[in-house]
Amino acid sequence: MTVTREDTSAVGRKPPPARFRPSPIGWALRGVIWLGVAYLVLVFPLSRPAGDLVSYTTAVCYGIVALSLNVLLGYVGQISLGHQAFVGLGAFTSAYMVTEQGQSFWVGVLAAAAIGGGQALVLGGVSLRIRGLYFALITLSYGLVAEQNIFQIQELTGGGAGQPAPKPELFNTEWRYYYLCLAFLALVLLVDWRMMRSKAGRSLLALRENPRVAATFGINVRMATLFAFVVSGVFAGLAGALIAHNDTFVSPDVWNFNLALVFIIMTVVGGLRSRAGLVIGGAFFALMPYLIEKIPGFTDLLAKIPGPQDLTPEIAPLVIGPLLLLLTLIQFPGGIGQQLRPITRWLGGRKFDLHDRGLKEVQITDVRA
Amino acid sequence: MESILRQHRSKVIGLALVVALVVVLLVTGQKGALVIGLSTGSAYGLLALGLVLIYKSSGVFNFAQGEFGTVALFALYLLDFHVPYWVALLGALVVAGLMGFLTERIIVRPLFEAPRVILLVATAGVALLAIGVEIWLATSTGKPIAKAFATVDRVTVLGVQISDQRLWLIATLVVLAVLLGLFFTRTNLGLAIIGASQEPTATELVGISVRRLSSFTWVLAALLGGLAAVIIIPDGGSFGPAIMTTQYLIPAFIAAVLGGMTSLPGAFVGGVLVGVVQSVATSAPIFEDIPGTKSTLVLFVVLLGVLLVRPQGLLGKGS
Amino acid sequence: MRRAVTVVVAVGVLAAAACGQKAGVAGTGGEGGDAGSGTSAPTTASVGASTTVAGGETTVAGSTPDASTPDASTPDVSTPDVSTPVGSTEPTAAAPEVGPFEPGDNDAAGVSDNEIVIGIHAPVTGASPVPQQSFDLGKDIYWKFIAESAPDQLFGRTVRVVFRDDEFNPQRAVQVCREMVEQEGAFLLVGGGGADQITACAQYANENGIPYLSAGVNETVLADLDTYFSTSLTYAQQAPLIIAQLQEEGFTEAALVVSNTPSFDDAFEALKAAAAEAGIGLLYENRINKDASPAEAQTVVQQLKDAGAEAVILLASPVVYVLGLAPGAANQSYAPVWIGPGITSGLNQVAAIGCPAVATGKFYSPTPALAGVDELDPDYNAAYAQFVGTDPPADDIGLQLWSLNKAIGLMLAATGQELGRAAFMNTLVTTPEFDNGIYAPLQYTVEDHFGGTGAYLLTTDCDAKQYVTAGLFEAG
Repeated sequence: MTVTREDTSAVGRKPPPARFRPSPIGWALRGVIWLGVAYLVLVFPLSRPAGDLVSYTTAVCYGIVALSLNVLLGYVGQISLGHQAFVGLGAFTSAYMVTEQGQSFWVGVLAAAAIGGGQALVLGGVSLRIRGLYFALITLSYGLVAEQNIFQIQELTGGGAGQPAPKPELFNTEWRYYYLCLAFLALVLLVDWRMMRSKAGRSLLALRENPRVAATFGINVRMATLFAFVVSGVFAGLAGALIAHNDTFVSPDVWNFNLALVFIIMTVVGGLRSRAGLVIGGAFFALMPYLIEKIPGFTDLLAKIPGPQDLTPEIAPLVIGPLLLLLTLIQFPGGIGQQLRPITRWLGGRKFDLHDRGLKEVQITDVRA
Repeated sequence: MESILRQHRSKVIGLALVVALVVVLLVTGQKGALVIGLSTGSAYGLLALGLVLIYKSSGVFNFAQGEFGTVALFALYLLDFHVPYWVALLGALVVAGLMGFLTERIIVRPLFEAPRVILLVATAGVALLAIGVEIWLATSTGKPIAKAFATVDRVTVLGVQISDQRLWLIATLVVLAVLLGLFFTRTNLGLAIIGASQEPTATELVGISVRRLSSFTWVLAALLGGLAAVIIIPDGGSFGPAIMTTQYLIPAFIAAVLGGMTSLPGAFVGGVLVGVVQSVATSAPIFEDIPGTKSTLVLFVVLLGVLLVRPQGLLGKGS
Repeated sequence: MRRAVTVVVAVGVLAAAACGQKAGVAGTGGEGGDAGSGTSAPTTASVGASTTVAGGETTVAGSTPDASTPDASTPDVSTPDVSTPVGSTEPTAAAPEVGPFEPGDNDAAGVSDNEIVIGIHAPVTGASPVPQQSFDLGKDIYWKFIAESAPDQLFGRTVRVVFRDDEFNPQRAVQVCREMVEQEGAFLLVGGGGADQITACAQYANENGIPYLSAGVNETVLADLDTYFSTSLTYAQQAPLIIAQLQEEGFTEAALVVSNTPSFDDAFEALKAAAAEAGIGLLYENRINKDASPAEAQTVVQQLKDAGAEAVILLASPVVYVLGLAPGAANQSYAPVWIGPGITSGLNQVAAIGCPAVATGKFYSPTPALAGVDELDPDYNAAYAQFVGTDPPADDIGLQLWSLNKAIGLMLAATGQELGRAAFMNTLVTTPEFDNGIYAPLQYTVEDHFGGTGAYLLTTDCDAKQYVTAGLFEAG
């Protein structure tokens, strides 16, 4: 069907602005920064001892977790206070597959992702009837059930004592495993990006803005929500499997409510719906104890703060983390991602605009039940 | 007669359920569970009162409610060395109220317009910050704390002794639940708080300062949290960082939701229900095969069941 | 364009991964050793019996990244001889003087001409916390003491102790153990407390040929690890002592409450068996939750009371005891004797926090109570005052560390100038006993790495809010 339009182009209208193209110097500068990032992520770890690499890999995995939680929190607008259950179940699934069932690492990861998606699907089904803060409480309760019941099933998880999870044969050094996880992170980013470009993704965004209006536009609210849950669960399960083999041991106590809060905090501080921010947020929170210890002079600075005992690297994150969160929420609601937005857009080839802060804050489904 | 039944249908159903539950428990020999449930459930109920209060006025789940209490405990512990116990108690409440006031000013007010989930995360941040500071200043080890009433064997119900401290808890809960209920329905201030939460602009137009109301509500909730902690915890003799959040907050949330997040008597009912479920789940033989902490799973199922069937909670209004 | 970039990055990453990397210092081996295979220890009725580690010429595989077969492939489970107590096991005359351990690639890691590095992990945050300060202050005192008083004992080497918080969870324990070995270069590892954490870290240590010592906890899994050595009686080994004490106090019936974690399964069975053998009827048994809430504890207390138990054998975390069971019982005017294996329930902080509800508690410990330790070893308090001062005052955690370090010092000295991991472990199994003057003597054999031979019984003194020593009891 053709649409005839009046040719209004000649009637005193300004021509549409030409697409911004960076100058050669602009390209060069961007290239340098990209190279710097690539160096930091790809080359720098080579020179570090194995113990550090384990921390870096954890950072990468937390980035995946942040992306996973963002699907629920940022795209769909549902809060999950039990996300550690999805990740943890993925971890135990993979450990179980490899240790008890003798399968290869890849089967373990696949199983973990599948289980993650499966349980998310079930929970998503529940969420269709229960919304908002009440749903948050269900997820919280489910998270506790995972930690205190599911992960205590001795045959599956080794009970309180935990389960070992050796690395895959091809990638069984800390360095190789780190690059493997980076590859997975890239994969997750790719899938997430493609998904949001697709029709399903657009439905999600419409859904988040206003579910009723979205429904009148023919968007199947149910399917879109369930789809988002599954994607979130798959990412989470994958992250769990990677974490399990990174730590080479999985135990139930780690997957507690406190971890759920850490996940939420790092996702929010990272910045909802900003991929760069999410990855940085996840990495930052994973690396906080490491950074506190390694940044020269920082530990001494902390020790100077008066108090009955020193603010050791173990205790400091417990105070610094929440402080950062509160700061983010009050002053910088879009998190790191929002602050970095001028830079990330510039790196992507657009003009550097200091005031481009992207979309407004998250609009969540009506949480007054 | 029929019209009265219809009018109070939900309450009649609720009452019938309660009677049925009590009968079942007595018949299956779980009477201890019943009394223990009542006893521990009152603790959850008292904490839940504060949660409901905040929810009614700010529309958010206040994750810091537990830490208002823990901070009060620390204050009580420290003050007890210097002043008589009852003075220390009052001092502890003052400290809790102060924490509530600061939370409202620094965290809640800037986020007045923000989506509720952001505010929820912010209250969680406040709780975590409080916990971090507690661990830093007090280390993770426990500290002994004295109780207000020492007698433990004055009252025995169905074979279970209820200590005086517990009786104080139950009495406080009942009195406060009733008072707060009346407060919200009969007093101008209470109605103003409800009004402010639903129609802030209209409230301002009428000349009521929404900001002042918000401060008042949060201070009151913090006082409730502090009161809950200083009555409940000394009964166990000792405390440590994050104790209220770790052991009481989540059951209190479940209690509040079960009771209907907007109903104060509901908090009481919900609390007792959670307590009873926890106790029964631990001891009843049919739950024996559940791995791990049995009460967690049973509570989850109960919560899910109630929310699926009756999303507004047992005593909540409307859907 | 963005898509292209992502693809390039992904390809680049995969390429970098494929191009081989530096071999790790102590790469985690391929398939883990006996970890998690769930071998259950045989139910031991008597103290001395334990599973044999595959004897003979066991080689401890060095930590090559592609470690092939795990060490103790098929552990020989010898049927326990019920009547053989440990105390009378002679150092096997047939044992080779050299010992079964052979040096692997990393044998001398952590040892230099002038330093030995020891790594300790323990829960500082988490469910069973011990004050960090106590650890930080206490871990070095012994080494400073002998550096001054007997510098030749370690052949001119000093000992550096690294300490890490394992947050009371096994996953974290493995992480920090790895850190201590790979980053700090620990020669041997020590587990401060927490059965699950000790089990997890011991498995890691075993896979990499690193000696691992801890206070006695469970025997499951640990019995099959070549490089694991306990420095006090395991829970199962303490079972007969507990039962004997109950009989001594005139009890014919008791109740049994044990945390519901697999690590405690062998202890549970051992306690039941010991009770049955001695004719002590068990009125009530419960596998209480590892993290029981006060409500649950209250329920268990009610059941204990209804069962009429006047003595309760308890093996649970001190938090459950101090915050749940003891005050719950006190509130019901119910005061049974709480008796159980140590160590953590026998620490003074339990008495400091829990009194008066814990007044009837008695627990075993490898060291005597702090009160009165001067009779056994006057050096501790003196050394503490010299190297730390009087604020904070010497505590029992420091005493535990002192005793442990003293034992390790004896072991290091016995190994000699040529110090390596294999040599160290060989010394342990071929030396008849190690007596540091505080512990009951430690005796290891090739087959039996559970070296404890006795424990002190500590009873609560709520007037002084501390534990006092009631006596030393030898196993068997």
